[in-house]
Amino acid sequence: MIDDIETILDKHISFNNLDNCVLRWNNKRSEWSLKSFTQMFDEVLNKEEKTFGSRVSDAFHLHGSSTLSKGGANLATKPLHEFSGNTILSQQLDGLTSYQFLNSANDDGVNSIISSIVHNYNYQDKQFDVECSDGYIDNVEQTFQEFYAGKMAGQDPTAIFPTNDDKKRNLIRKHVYTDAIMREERLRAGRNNVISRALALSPGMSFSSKGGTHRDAGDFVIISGEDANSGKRFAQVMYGEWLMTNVVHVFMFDREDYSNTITCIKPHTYGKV
Amino acid sequence: MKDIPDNSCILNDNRYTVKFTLINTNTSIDLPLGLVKQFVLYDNLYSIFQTGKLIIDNSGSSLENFSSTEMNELREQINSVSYAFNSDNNDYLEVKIIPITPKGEDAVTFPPEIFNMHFVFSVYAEEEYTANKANDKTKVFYLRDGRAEKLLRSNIEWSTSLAVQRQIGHKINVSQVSNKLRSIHTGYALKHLIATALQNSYPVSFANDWDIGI
Repeated sequence: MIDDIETILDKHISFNNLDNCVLRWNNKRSEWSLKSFTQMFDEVLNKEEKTFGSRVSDAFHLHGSSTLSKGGANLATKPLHEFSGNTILSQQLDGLTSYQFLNSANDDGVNSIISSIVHNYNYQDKQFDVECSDGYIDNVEQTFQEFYAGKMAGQDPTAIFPTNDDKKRNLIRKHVYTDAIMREERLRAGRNNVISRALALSPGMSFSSKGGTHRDAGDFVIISGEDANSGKRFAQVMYGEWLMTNVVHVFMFDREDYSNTITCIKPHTYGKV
Repeated sequence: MKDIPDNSCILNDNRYTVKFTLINTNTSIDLPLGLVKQFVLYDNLYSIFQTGKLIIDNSGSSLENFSSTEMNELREQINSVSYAFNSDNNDYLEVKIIPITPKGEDAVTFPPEIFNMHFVFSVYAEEEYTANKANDKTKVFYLRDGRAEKLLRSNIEWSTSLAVQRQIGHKINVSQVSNKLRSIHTGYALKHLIATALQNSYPVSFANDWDIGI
């Protein structure tokens, strides 16, 4: 049965925004949920009310991450100042002192984040289709920006989506076949597959903190810090909203200790780099 | 607010109510917290269900020897229950972990839909490690969600035509119509398949913003 469910899920595309969806059993609400990534990103910020949305479950303060920036001793105000995310109060948040940060790997970018040309044969109409437009790397990047990065905080939030001339000229590309008849259904094999990989292969971070039962994979954490205003590329990536993809809760009853190990990804910078 | 329950403990200066119950068709026993060394919960966005690991101090085979006793008002033992593992391929572990305030459970400070953990895990494998000392042993139970277990084990008869039939009642005979009329949105299909597969074992409820798919 589980294979059948995953097979249908592999063909599923969101009705609202044609994005990929996540099927989860939510043990806290005792209900099943099927939600698109776009919808999850929609719930991070209430841009009109200038507040964090229901998807944000936690915030951490990054202490002394690097040498002082051109912002000097001033307290950082970007990118979350309008959401009160980087204020004097944010220094009182749980500290993030030790973490592992990984950029997206070149190999992954070359093999996975490339144009996909989708082929299909409709046996009923006896017609071949070859679709290049939806899966063309520039169009996928634009969709990625629209689905995820554009919804985040900052003056000009920008998708982290590695492309180059070879990709743009389709010198690097892949061909895929799908049996889906409708054009929207064929997106799953082409465009959405690349989007899914680009999201999963975004810059990632892993860290441990004191435990909290409220932390769930699929929620977002906010990273704030003194260096957020520096304008450095790293600061543009590091600070802001991170999507938690993996949360490990470790209850050590013999040591009276409870910790979380959190892995999260961030598919955008809060300004153009 | 309720009083602080007996099965509470303090982790990182925060108080939690913790309950581990082993269940099979014949018996259920609450594990004393003193036996439990660690509980690890893995929650991955790309997995439908959480998985877990329970690590128990099993020195002197304490778990196998453990029996839960029931006393009457005169403190006389009237019942003793011990747990027989794998008598029916249906060993489950119910886990409840609830953060509480110094005064007890408080739904305002810790809203249950955000903080309460409640799982029914299937114990699908176990390992035991011996230490240097003669009787010191550690047992590890590997856990997956009971719903996942049910979905892994069971095979059912299902087709999208059943979901169509459920949606429109018996207004058309689905065996006499084209494939197009027997098709259904993937979101509806997932919903119907999950409900059909689990309906006799677990309560099934779906989020209001369930995506119906194209």
